[in-house]
Amino acid sequence: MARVRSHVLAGVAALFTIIGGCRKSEPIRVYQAPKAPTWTLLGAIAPQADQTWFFKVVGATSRVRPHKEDFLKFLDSIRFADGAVKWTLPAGWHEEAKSGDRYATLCIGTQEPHLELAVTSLGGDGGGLLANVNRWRDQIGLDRIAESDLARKTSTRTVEGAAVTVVELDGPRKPAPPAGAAAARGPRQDPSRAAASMETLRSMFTFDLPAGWVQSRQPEGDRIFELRAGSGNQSPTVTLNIIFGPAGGLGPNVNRWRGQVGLPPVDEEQAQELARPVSFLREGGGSLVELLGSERGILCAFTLRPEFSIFLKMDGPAADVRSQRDAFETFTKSVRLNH
Amino acid sequence: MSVRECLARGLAVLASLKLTVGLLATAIGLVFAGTLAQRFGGIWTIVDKYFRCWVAWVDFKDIMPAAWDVSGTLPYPGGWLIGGALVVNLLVSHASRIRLQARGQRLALGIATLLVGSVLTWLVISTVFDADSSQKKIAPFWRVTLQLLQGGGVAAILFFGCRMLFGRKAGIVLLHGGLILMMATEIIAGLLAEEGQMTIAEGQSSDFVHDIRRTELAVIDPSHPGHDTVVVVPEDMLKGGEKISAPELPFDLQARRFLKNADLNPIMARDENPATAGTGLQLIAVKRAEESGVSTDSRADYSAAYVTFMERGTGASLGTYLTAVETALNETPERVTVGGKVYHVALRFKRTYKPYELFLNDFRFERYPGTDKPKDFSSYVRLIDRERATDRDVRIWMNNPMRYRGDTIYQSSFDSVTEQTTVLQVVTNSGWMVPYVACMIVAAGLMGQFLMHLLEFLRKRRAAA
Repeated sequence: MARVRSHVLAGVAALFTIIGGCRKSEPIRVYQAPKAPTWTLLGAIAPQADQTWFFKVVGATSRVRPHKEDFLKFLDSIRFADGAVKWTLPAGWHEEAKSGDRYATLCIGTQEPHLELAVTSLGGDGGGLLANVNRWRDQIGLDRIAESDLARKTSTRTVEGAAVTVVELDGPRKPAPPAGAAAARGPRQDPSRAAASMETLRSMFTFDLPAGWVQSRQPEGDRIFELRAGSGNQSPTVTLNIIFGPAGGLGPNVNRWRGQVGLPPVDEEQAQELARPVSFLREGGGSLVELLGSERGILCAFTLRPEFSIFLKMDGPAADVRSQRDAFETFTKSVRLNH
Repeated sequence: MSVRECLARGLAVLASLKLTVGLLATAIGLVFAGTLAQRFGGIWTIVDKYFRCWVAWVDFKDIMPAAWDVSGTLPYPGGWLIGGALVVNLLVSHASRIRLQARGQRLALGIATLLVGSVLTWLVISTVFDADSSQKKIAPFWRVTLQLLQGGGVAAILFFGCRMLFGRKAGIVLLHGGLILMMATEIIAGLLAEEGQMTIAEGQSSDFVHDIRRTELAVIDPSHPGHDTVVVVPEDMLKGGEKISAPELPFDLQARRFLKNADLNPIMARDENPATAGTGLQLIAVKRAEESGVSTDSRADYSAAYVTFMERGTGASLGTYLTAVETALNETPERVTVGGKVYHVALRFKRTYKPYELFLNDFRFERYPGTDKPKDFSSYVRLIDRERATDRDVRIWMNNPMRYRGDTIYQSSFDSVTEQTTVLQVVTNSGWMVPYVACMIVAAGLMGQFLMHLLEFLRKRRAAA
């Protein structure tokens, strides 16, 4: 009997081992799939004396393409004067209330959700034509182009005697809305919903406020939070923004900030050397760039990811920014994303 | 000992109540170990590792305090083995302890009743009577009540059949049958059910679901104007790290490094980069701990892999690319060229295409007035099925799924930032009615058994009086 039991036990143990080694496995599969939807971006870049204007509409190809002629008519109607811009709206368009960092939001058609044409401006050359075209290409999943391809990949239109670059792109990726899109949305959105969306975003971040810094209770537009590094009105501002998507990459962003403080642009390799690692949001998770011009200075800690990019930026008089360098770095390390 | 005696002893062991208690204690141990293991592993990893298997390889570090630093594994009966053994134990104990009480005509009638009941049970489970709920405008309470009534109806027929065949033990036989059916649900779900998410933004449509628990490497040939030809290599094949050479693939490939969960960071000059082409020249994958089952974030694992592609035959390298779920979600596949043809390659959540598409007209999220507390969220979708010439509007909201073509589509979640994107959970489980029916069979068995005892008690009391 004992021999039977031991044989049975040995058999069960062997069975265990054999069964334990057997695992179901999936094979390689082949199938036909429908084509993924494409996205179209119609944009225009209009450099003026001391700022550059951007006009952009992006959406599903089936929705944007039918409005191309109206978009071109709209561009032809633009008039620049004294730092402002005016236009004549095509039939079926209407303008929404000003919000966030946009100069204007124009709604095209009546189909919900609205197709929006965003009008924005950046100081100086706004980072340059190539950087901005590549930023837009990036947003809809297209490869970047070189300077030599610009003429071939864009077209030029004359508006008020000046050249406006028109960009027409079809890509595979749906561009994400800016972080404050819910807050910036127009009358269709219940205001309490918009506020709740921004509150959700803001509640995700915690930080240790440095001594002498003041936090604004009402950050402008889609800023997650806004601080002043000091009590005076000229003290540097510190803001945190989220942009969905990779935000154009390291080089274009560094050059955009360099342009803002009056420094010349650099290439990608030099931009990488300017960015040093810093603990931002998590250990070793970000990069820090320090740019000091003759009058204006910018410190920016950032993390660039395919899904979203977060920027913590100090901007103010160069001398003040220089003196707040250590406090900014300590502050950067204290910022945590609780999500 | 003769063969007959051995068989008798074997059956006695299988029918033993000691075995039942032993198996239940083993199950408790398995649940305990699986619960502790969720500290370090994702919930679905633990379900596959401990419960949906015949043998669970229990890691000591999963169940011991971290400070003890004990390594090694121990084979332990898995969920399917314990459940299967319990079913065998139940069936054999029934066979050895419960005898048929009927003879002749009563026996024939009892068997016929059971057969009719079983056929009706099968019909109810296969939802013949509830095929497409998206068209019916029945309040949820009445819809569930109707399903329970259907289960109750077949349970009553089965009870009468058992009563005829097994007499006073009818209730016990029926409720054990219900328990077996309930345990069978897990096997059916584990083997056949598919679950995935469909994420749709307002004004957009989707015709596929993705399973966030598993990934696949998709090699896509976009050259045909009307469709894409997709070859998918499952995650398990990539993890092995061996060279994969298959006639379906346009090239050979080998995953040099597979990370179950990873962050993508901008690459710095100091980083050692395995990639020689593509997105991997700008981003680097950094290993991140697998999302644990006890995490409050409920974030999926975003896998990444460095994959080398090679020309078939010559083995010449076509480059090592960083493929990642994060970039796939942004619709930025890697592009690999071989023989003058460009293929898109993406490591993505496992994708299943549906024969229908859902267009999101509107997503509504309601809060209780004056609070941030969610009251209700609903998706107003348009169901488009070109094969069946179907085009209609449907509302899907919390606890009110849509059922169509064998799929049950639940309102699961939404994008809390924009509040204009819905996340629908799509479950393909042909056995979804089984738990309803099994519960009603168990309830009918219990109530029937208690009722028989009560009636006998009352009869005896009346006789004594």
